[in-house]
Amino acid sequence: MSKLENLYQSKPMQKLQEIGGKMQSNKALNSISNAMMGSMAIILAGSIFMIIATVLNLLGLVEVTSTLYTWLMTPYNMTMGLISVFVSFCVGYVYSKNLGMKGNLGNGIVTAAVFIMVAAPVESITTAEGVAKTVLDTSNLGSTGLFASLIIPLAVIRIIWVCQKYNITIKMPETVPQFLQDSFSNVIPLLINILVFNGGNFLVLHFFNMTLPSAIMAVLAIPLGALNSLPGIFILMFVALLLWSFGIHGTIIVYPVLMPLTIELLTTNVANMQQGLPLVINATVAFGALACCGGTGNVLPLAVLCMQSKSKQLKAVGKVGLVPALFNISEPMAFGVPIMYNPIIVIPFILNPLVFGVILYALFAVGFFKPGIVMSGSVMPVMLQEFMSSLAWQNLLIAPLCFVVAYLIYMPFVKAYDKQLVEKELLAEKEQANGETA
Amino acid sequence: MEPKKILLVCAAGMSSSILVKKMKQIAKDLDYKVNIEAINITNIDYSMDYDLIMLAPQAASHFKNLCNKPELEKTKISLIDPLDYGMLNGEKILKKALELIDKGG
Repeated sequence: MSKLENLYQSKPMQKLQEIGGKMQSNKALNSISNAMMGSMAIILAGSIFMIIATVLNLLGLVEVTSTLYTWLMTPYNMTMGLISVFVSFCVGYVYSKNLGMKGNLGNGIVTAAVFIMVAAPVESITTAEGVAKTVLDTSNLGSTGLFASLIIPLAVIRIIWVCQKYNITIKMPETVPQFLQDSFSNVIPLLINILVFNGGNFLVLHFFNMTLPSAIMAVLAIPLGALNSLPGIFILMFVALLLWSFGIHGTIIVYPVLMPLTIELLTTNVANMQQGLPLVINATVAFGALACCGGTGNVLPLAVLCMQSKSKQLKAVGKVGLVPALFNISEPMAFGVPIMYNPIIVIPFILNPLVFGVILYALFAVGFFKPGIVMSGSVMPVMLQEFMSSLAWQNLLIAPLCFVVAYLIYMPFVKAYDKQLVEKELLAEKEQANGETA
Repeated sequence: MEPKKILLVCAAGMSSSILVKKMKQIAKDLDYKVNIEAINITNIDYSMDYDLIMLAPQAASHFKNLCNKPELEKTKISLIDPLDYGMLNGEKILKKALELIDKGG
């Protein structure tokens, strides 16, 4: 055991912990994670209408071509379909706040404006009926533009930051009221941003015949393609779990990469469903194994095992952690058992999601479990999340199946740890008794 | 006397809200005048003049950032002991919080 305990004191482990901590407090990464979470609410709201439309359609009450269906799908199309616009605002706003800048709201609006400018420049078209219309091509404003809507705002805000830092702004005479000065202060940074991005967009369009967001995607496609594979997803899971074992919120760190890929799969499947095509999966479905039964590391079976152990400490932790775990909140178990810095429990904590990930992916691949069509990002009770996101009864079985697998993997390790603790507790009791008699 | 304002911060604002519920109950039982809230790290309102901000273990890496914020000059910032946090030991954490606030006067 002593060797295992020394593991966390070793150089590479300490270095990893340092990097993880830095990434978690990194202002840009933090902005991206929080912007994605901030946009969850509207995705959820739009999804509710989509669920109604889908259920009515599945029951054969509403045709996909009917007006009612179109009307019901409008909230979804105007939230999920424009998700990149909202995300770009959120990233800009949060990043500006994180950098401690002035005028966060204005900065958020600037980022959204610049993003739309390059992602969906206005076009004039003539319809088949001969009516001239001015339109925005929304193809880059939905899930396909997500990565661009994470990266462009970071650059936009940095440009404003430089302007504020070096006082590059319209100089007003002192007599002009402060609020007027403030409202003009964003003009020059905005002009510079427009020059940089609109100019950049023009150049990319001219030389490569694609918009800036498409170009960003083309460049990102190579590393993303590598990550959006089974080995890639398992590496992300491993990293997230390992960081959790240092007490660092690892899920938030891998979120920026994972979330856009998940949302993209979701929108593809909604489109497929509407056209009557079969649903597709990608490697991200395996990531579901990370936290499907009690939060990160599937700690619900761990809580049950703790309640069944002999040690007083573990029994108490199990009792405290059980209800939060039923709502997929794992922190009480993570810090109470504790999982962090505790190699004997960290092993099954990391191992069980990886093992279950293989099983989960296989069952998705053979078509037993159904991929998600609804974004259900908020915390939901165990079992319900997988069902709500897919509306398929089969997915209710994901959590119980995970429970069994994780229970079996945790069991020998919890037993060994329990034995250690019982010995310690007995020793402590003896010492106390001796102390009292002496 | 004004009730003391305590803010609990975690990464997503979820686990800390469970703890806050417990702390509020204990404060009520023991008749302490405190105002306790839970929030995630990004949504902290720096203009609120909190007496004490307590960081959950999984948000500990933000400790330095918060200490360096000029807006938080008057606010005490502390880390919650991981084991107390895991056990949702509201009483111990609340007592520690009041101790910390009183120390500076």
